[in-house]
Amino acid sequence: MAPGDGEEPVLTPTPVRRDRRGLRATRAGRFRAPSTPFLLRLGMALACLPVVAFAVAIHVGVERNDSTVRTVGREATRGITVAQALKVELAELDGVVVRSLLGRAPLNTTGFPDDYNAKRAELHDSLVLAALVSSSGSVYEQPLVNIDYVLSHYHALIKDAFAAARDGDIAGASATYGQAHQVMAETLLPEADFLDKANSYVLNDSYDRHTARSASTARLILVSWLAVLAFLVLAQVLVAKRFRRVLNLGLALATVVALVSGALTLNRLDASSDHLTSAREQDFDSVHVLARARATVESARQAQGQFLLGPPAAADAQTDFDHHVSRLLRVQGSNPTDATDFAEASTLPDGAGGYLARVASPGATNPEPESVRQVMVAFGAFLNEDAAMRDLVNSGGLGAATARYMDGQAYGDLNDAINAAQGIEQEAFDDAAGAAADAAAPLDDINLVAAPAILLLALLGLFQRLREYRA
Amino acid sequence: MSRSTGRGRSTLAVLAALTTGATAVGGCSGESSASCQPSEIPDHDENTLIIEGDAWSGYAPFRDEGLLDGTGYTAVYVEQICQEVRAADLTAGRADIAVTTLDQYLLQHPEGTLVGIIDQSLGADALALGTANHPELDSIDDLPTLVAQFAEEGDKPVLAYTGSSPSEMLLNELANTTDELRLTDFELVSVDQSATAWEMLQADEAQLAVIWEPDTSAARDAGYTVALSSADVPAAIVDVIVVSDRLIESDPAAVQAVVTSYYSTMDDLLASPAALERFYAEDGGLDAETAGTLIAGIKLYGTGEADVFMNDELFPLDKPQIEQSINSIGSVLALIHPDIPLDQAKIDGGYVISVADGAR
Repeated sequence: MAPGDGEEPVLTPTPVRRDRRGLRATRAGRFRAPSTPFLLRLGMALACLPVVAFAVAIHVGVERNDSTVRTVGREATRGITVAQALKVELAELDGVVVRSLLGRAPLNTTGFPDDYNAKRAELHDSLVLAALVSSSGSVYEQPLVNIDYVLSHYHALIKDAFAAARDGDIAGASATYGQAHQVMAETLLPEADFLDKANSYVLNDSYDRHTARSASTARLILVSWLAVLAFLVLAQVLVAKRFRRVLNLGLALATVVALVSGALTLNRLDASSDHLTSAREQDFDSVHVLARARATVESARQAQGQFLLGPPAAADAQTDFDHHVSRLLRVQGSNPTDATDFAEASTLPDGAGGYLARVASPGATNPEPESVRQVMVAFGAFLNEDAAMRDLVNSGGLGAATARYMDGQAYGDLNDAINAAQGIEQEAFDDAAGAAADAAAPLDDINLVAAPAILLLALLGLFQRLREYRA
Repeated sequence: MSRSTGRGRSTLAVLAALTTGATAVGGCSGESSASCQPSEIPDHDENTLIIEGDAWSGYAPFRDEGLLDGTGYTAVYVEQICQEVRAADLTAGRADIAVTTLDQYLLQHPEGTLVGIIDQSLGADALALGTANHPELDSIDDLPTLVAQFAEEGDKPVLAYTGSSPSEMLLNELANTTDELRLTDFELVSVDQSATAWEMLQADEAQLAVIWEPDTSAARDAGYTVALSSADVPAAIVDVIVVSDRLIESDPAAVQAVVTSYYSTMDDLLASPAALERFYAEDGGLDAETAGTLIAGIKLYGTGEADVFMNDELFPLDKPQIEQSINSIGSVLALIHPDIPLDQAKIDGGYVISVADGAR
């Protein structure tokens, strides 16, 4: 019970005579104060407006936030990850061909080595996964359709290359594989990149829109919240003045609920936004860059193998390898040997570029810097092994160089290091994206309870006074 | 601004909105529409063909009054920078031919058919760094350091670009395909033309600028670093010839006359680099060196290459390049225009085939 409940109201019912006087006063153009019942009824009617506006503002804010979290935290990022995984599978398939040709792998009844068929099956699974997780729309479907179509050409060329190798026509095998590799490098890998680009567009768009409108969303909620509080305080003051009672329980409780729900909403949306910023601007950038690095390492590995296949493609393969390495790490004004030293020492000067520099530069934020340092060290070892392999080729030790390539110890270590670092970054991203979703998750439900509660309590408080007045 | 440098094509703000944020380009589309003026089409007889386009250098042959000499037709080039109006004029029959970019054809979808390719930008549009004012800024890899320097003062470097132009498309393509450029790191300033962006770069009012030729060459000559360009995102900016469907129905001979004359002109020019340079220099009022640099940043198409682009089923997708370009550019546009009618794009490579057959 509110203090004073049960007491007589201060004002008595308005006599008819006063009404008539009021009417005359109005006719004479003078202001007449509205009656208390009128004010109470007006208050009850108007109570809906700020409360509904407040509820709608919260709902809009939560919807916007959820939509961004869903796109940035799940759909687009998953699309990018799948696109890069697809690219890695494609590059690995190309690498398997080189290794099979170099190792004279036996062909099975399908005309392909077992390794090739196994990798082909994995690639098929990745394509199916990409189709399943991709959003609908030509921008996502077109590259997958193109990859599916062009792969048939690639397989046909590879089959011819293997057949030529089986028949002892190494030069023919190398030339046919060269055509297949061109299909891979100029069509298949760019199509996988296109899928990445489409998802990047969506990711950037969603995030930038969120950034641009988060302030306006917060303002909208804040203004509607203040409107509700102002209304409740005003009503409380009015009732206190007219009824000589300090507190109306209904209005007081409504004010408390409004205070708590508004503060909670703003706080949680702010926290969600912070988590999303961390997920997008720190963690996912690293995931994305490492995924691209992984695919690039695979392409570099393929170029190493093609270099060993023989003179016709050796020069181009060397150029390809250098290009891939520079995409991984480049240091202005330095030669590749310096890059190896920087990588091994895991210290990068200002102006270093490439995927690995993005995650290993002093300004980069990593949940576990040691994992990135391991990547750098492994990359240095990979470059060293490549240099040793090329030295062997130049000194006439093609067989030893091929054996070293087939062993692929440094390549394996580098892959493992990148995968480990990417896993850590992915986990950090998932945590941050999950926290962003969790922070805002209960708000709609809270709003669903709080808004009617505020309205009911306010109406109850005002109605109680109106009933007392009538009595 | 010399004539050849004008590239005031209508908006690609829809694309820019994908990445540059509402503050940067939110008004582009509306501004473009608001500033559109009706085309000033002169009185003409039935044998005169109205060609609408803008001041882009690649369209220079269409501005040549003698383009259709000897065909029984004459051509009048009407400059219309607004893509919406250009498309509307084509649909309404006020214009017979429009020269435009492929993405705008897909976005505006006029009642017209693609009958030929003009050029592709391969370096003419570029992102330049303010090396002269920031000597340490001589590589795209220096951007993180620059961003960090500004961040220390609670600021962001300014990136100036021309709104409602291919510069916007280039900026978005670069931002979404390269790792080095993150638009959120910069304060994006939309300007009216490349020359303005170039001036801002020189005055250090912008630390980066998206510009086009001849400003690209001027920036390079002045010691600024051209870090990225349309060469890094090939096939993003493609210029095409679009003929109104009603002209195709009523007078296919006129269409053939235009296509034949255009590619004959291009074949002659491409066969003589000096003449080519002179032609574009005269069109734009440029010196020979600048014209040469400008040409180097554009891939121009003669009959043979246009025939391949329009008609040959290219391995390994086994589709003509024009279809592949429509699919790739259209797919990106469809990200924010889900209802974009990609399947309604009309292509007729038959006119180019006739020219190619004649040449053979």
